[in-house]
Amino acid sequence: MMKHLFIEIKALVRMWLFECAVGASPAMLTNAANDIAPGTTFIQQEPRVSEYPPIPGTTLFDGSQARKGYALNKMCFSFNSAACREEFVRDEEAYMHKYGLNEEQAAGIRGRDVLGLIRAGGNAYYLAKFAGILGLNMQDIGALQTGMTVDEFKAKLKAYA
Amino acid sequence: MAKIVGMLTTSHVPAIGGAIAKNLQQDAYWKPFFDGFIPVRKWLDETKPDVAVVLYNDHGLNFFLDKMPTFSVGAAPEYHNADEGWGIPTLAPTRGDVDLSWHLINKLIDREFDITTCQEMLVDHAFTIPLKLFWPQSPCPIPAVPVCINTVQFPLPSARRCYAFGQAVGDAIRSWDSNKKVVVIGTGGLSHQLDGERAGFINKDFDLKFMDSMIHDPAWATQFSIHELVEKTGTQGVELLMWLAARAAVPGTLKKIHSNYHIPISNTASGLMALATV
Repeated sequence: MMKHLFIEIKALVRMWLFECAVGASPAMLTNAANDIAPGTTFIQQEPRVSEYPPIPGTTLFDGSQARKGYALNKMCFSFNSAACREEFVRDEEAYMHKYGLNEEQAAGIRGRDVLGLIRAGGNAYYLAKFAGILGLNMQDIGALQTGMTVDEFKAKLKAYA
Repeated sequence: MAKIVGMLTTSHVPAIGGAIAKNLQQDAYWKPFFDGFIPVRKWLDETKPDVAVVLYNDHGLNFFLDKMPTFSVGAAPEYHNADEGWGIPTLAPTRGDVDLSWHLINKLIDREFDITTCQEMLVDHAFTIPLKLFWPQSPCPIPAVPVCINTVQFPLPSARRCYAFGQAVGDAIRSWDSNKKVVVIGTGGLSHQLDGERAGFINKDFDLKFMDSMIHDPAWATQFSIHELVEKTGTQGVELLMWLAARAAVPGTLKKIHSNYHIPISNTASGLMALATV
């Protein structure tokens, strides 16, 4: 328990130092100074969802995912615009580069790997806009993620009725 | 003072927009879903609400992760739908009611719900499709005020918090100095999960219990944490928070006008309820 707490504190201090190093805004620094009381309150900064056991096959899109996936989700958010979708289709690599996707995210896009994109911080709603470009609907996406055929996936849904 | 005539809750799924555009209402796959709305429309024709307050969740049309308010209230004279990226038709704009918007905003902040106000707000399928289902005319014949609850990025507001928020919305409507009849709408759920290896998860037992609680025990679902709700209803099933808030806005004994439950519409267990104030 103590060891766990120590690791948490170390991680948070490292995060804070990183924010200082990359040039956090004065407001962020003030908040950091005011909100974190000396010594004891670090554990409260832990993401709340991690207090619960994981749900199998489920990634909660929490702060850590939102940070990791920002560039990927921002690119997918741009797919609300038809012009952006066309630009992506014309040159996927250039478009991914423009949004600064990391290698893991770019590989997920190239491989149409939905589970890989979720691991890389993708959010279901934004990823669905990417699926729209590929002409895939939610049953197609469901089948891809569960290793079923689309018919099997549809049958699985129907069986709940 | 304004009067709340009742509450409507329904699932929202982009594919419904596609089905409406293709006139598939009588198609075998869609009929059990669309037929549920016939008695509700009859009640609306008789009751004639003047304005709707719509509790819904945005799916990355108006809000991105750069700014993600937990609770937000529209304050625009008109709300536009737009391209959502998944190929469903864009629906006509819906008129707003700016007086009611600002009354809600003022009262909610009085009650310490520090909401985000939006004088421009794009509304996605979670707002437009339910209105289209309840009022098939285009554009929607009555004005509506969108109230958005974040279900995109965790942490989400707890079920208990959403219930209290709904109570504050209801109190605000009832204190509005107007002779208008208001209907409260909650859209989302019921159980479904789009993402991960658990995609395709549905929980009929829980959904039916939840729908029953809407009538007999409105605060029942507030006993669950968000994590428990995701576990029981799926990552998107958690949208039932909109139903919970809508029910809290219209408290006390309500008369059931109609309810419908059908599996599946797309990947979703679809639910529909119409409850009238007695």
